[in-house]
Amino acid sequence: MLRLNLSDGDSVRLSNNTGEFIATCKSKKIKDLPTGLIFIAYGPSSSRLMESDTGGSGMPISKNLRVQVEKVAA
Amino acid sequence: MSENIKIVKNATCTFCGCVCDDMELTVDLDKKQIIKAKNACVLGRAWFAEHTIQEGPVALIDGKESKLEDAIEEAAQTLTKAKFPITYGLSDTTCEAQRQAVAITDFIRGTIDTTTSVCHGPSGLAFQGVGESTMTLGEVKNRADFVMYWGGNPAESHPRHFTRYSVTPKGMFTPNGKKDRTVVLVDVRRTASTPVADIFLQVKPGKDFELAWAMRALVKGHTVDASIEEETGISLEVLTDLVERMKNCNYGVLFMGMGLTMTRGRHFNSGAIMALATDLNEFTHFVAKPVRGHGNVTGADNVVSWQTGYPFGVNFSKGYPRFNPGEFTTVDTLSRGDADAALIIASDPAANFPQAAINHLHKIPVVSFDTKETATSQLAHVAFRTSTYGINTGGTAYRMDDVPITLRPAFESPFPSDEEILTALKKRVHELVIAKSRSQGAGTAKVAAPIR
Amino acid sequence: MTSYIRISNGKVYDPSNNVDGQIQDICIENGKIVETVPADARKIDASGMVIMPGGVDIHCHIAGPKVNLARKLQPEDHRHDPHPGTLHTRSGSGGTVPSTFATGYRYATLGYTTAMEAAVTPIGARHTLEELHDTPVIDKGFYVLLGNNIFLQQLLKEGRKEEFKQAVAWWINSTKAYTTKLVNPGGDEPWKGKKNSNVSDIDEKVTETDISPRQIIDAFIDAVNELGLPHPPHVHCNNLGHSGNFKTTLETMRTAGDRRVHLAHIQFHSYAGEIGKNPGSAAREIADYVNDHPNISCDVGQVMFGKSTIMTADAPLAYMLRGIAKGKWVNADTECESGCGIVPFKYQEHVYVHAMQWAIGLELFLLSKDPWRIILSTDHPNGGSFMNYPKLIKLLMDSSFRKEELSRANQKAINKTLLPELDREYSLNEIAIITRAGPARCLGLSNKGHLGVGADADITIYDDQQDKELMFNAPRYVFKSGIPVISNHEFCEDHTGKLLHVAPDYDESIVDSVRPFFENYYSIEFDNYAVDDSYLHDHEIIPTINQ
Repeated sequence: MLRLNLSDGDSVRLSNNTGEFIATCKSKKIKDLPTGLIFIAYGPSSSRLMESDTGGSGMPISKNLRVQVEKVAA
Repeated sequence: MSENIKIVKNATCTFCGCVCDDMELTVDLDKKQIIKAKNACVLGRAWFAEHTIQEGPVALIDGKESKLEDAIEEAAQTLTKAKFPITYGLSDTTCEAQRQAVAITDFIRGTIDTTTSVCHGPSGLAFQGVGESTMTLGEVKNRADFVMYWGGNPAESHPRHFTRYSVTPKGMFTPNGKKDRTVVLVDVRRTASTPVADIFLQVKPGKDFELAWAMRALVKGHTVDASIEEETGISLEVLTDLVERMKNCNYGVLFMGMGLTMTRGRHFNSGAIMALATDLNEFTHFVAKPVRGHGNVTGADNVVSWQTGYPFGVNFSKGYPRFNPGEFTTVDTLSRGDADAALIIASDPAANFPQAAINHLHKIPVVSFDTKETATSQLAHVAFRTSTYGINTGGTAYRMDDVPITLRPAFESPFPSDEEILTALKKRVHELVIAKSRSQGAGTAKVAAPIR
Repeated sequence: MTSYIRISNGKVYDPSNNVDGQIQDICIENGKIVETVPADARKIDASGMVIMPGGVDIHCHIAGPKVNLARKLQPEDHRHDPHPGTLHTRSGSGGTVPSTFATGYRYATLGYTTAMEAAVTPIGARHTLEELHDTPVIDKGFYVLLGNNIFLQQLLKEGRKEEFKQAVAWWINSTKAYTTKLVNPGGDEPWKGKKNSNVSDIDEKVTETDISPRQIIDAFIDAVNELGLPHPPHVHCNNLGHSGNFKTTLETMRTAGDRRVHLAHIQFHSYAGEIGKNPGSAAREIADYVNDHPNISCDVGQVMFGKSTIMTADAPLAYMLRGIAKGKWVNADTECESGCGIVPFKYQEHVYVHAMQWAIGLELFLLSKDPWRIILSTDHPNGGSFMNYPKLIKLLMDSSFRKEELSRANQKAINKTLLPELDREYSLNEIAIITRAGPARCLGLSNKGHLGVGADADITIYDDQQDKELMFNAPRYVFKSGIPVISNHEFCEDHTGKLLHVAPDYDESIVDSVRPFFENYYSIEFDNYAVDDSYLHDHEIIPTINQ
């Protein structure tokens, strides 16, 4: 978060080729959540970022999604 | 508190796949609510507390209150008219209801799929590929001296998994409980579960397969390069020590979380873990098991399997079951735009599917079954309000280890059960299918001898 | 409304009533066979046809936890063999482990109307009953696995024989089973607890429990006889599949003395030779013992060339077989009760061992002097699917067909057996015994396996054909409980069938002994363990001798 100049409570836009949504930041220790990782809950917000292609498995990739993070005005 | 109190002993919590059957429920029969759930975990307490009776219509057609019979008729007409109807959900209802749902889908030559496809479906595929050495949870309690969780956070998702089945309980050959066990956790981040572990492996995201495969290599005595640390985040030294512990335990268990199935690798990840457990049987007794989410998702797997031969993603359009994940699984049938009607039972795909699939749900007639209003019921053409399994209705639920348990309902609901409405719907659908077949002049029966 | 049917002009094979191919009328009133029916009864002309009681399968694996794992495991086995629905019947999929609906309908298409699932863990009884409810047409029951039950073994070790008997009765009642099943008794603890080993000698005391397989077998034979169950303990002996195991099999039978016992799939237990080396045939030794001891019954467990699925509570055996091809393998441990192993398999004519197994099964049939006690089975799907029964019947009835078939199998194996010299051909009457009358009698099902007045109207009518495989593959009519389920080769009505189970009397105070053990070592609540009557669908309690 330091790297992106973010602090707790800031709004960020998470986006990828599939879609985007706005989330609120909360920091974690690097020991708990390594650099480069964001944790979001599974549900309507993750739906926006999940690709529908299941690669023949029936399962859309629902974790380890690559996203762009941009700070947005609150 | 009213005077009209009932105690239900040995009741079952169907919130998660643990299906704990040692609940002692205190029920206020006047208020129709559970006021205390002894032995329940935090999730279970919320589950029992939330399911009160809320006034409301039993059925809605296009958002307008409707009589139950009319809604059943409309649902039956909708499903039989469709060319590519899909059935989905089923993980939060009884096996008895699931059996009716498969029958309906068979009659309308539709496609049936359960929440398994977006849960441990990949583990189901892996199972078909490599098999699995597995067990009931009591074996873990009685025998396991090595327990490893991979890609899951049971402390928050299955709070009693540790205490009731696999970490702290004292069993036949584990008289000292946790002291007799080595507990290992593999995850991409630290969670509430991490403190339970004797060993925590923080694997790099999306590198589960590589880690598991390196462990298989070590088990089989092959050389693994030290660059494995760069690749997976786990050093060769740590891995070598871990594998030695696994080979030398008396009874080892690998629990698989959805951190394996929902990420890069999917069924390959589950397959690698299952194969690892199988490999280890050359040295000691080793088993593996997916940690299942919903209360009766395991029942859904079992029912769909015994009725069709396949666990999920089954299509009846040719008059017999065919299985093809990626083609007949619900995310695919929706996001490709194949489905032209949907029967959705006890699940809420409109709240967690990829957006493209949700968009298609908005375009087709949906028949929904739920105990409450959901994103899916809001967009449904016909929405049934049903009673809650395990709280208002009896029946059977399967624990994550395939152990079936009979539910003990706590109090009556004014709403019918899924099974009751589905049974009526099946009857009506069957009548319509027979009528349609007669009007098309089709024969009444096929040759009795099986087709080879 | 009463339904009356009269079947006329057919050749009737009803060995229990000494009817051997005579032309006789069979009358049905509401699901039972009666002396006569009113003149306006529905008439079926069975000219040129053969009438037999519906077939009874005494040993198969068709429902429950292990069967469903085997189903899930093999999409490739279903894919080539779909089972389409009709307006009256549900669809399904076939292969060696068909879906429940396909299982019921396919038994019916062979003229079988009763089948017994041979191995169910007590904790899996509820699951099994749900599947059996979805297995149409046939009547069915199951045998409950108690031979590796830890609590029962503790009682034995402590010499508490009366409590042992009471606990067995409690378990049967709690699961709605038909009889007790022992599989590789004593072998589970070494498998689960001592790094995948097994027990190998019937008198070897297992370290963990300090009792031997023989003690377990002996205790069950006593208990079941005292309880008066209609079918004795159903025993899968130790050392299944191992060369030289016939000695264990003989010892198992000797343990019984003159008490009743049923030996399952005895072909798999009739191997000569040394352990670890290729087997020879000990069919002669086994058949002689069975012939001389009327207290013994067995089913053959014939191996048929082609695809099979090994599914067994004998987990160490499945692991051994897995070692051959290193293919997919399922092991499933059930707490305090059982093990289980599943391996997809294929019997091949050119393979010495497979040809030997095939030949030993046929030797046993042909050396048997009392068809009432050597029952036809393939231990479906272990030796092959039950769909092979018509071919197996042809192998027994047609010696020239048998010679053709054996000329294609591994000659090194065949020539070590008596098979080339055995010219016996089974008669239709004998076939009716080994597929109907015999299994019904062994099971103590007095209303099945015959066509006398009072019997269940489970009736099969075949076109009388020269080619017995064709004949037994496609009955023209099948009546189940008097309902014409198949008529002119077509399904015209669905039927659920009923569950057959026993309910021996027992002393309820035994619950006080079971409960503490249960609360310590099981993972479900004791009060949620016993199966209630809601799982029974249509059912019939077969009385014990004492009831």
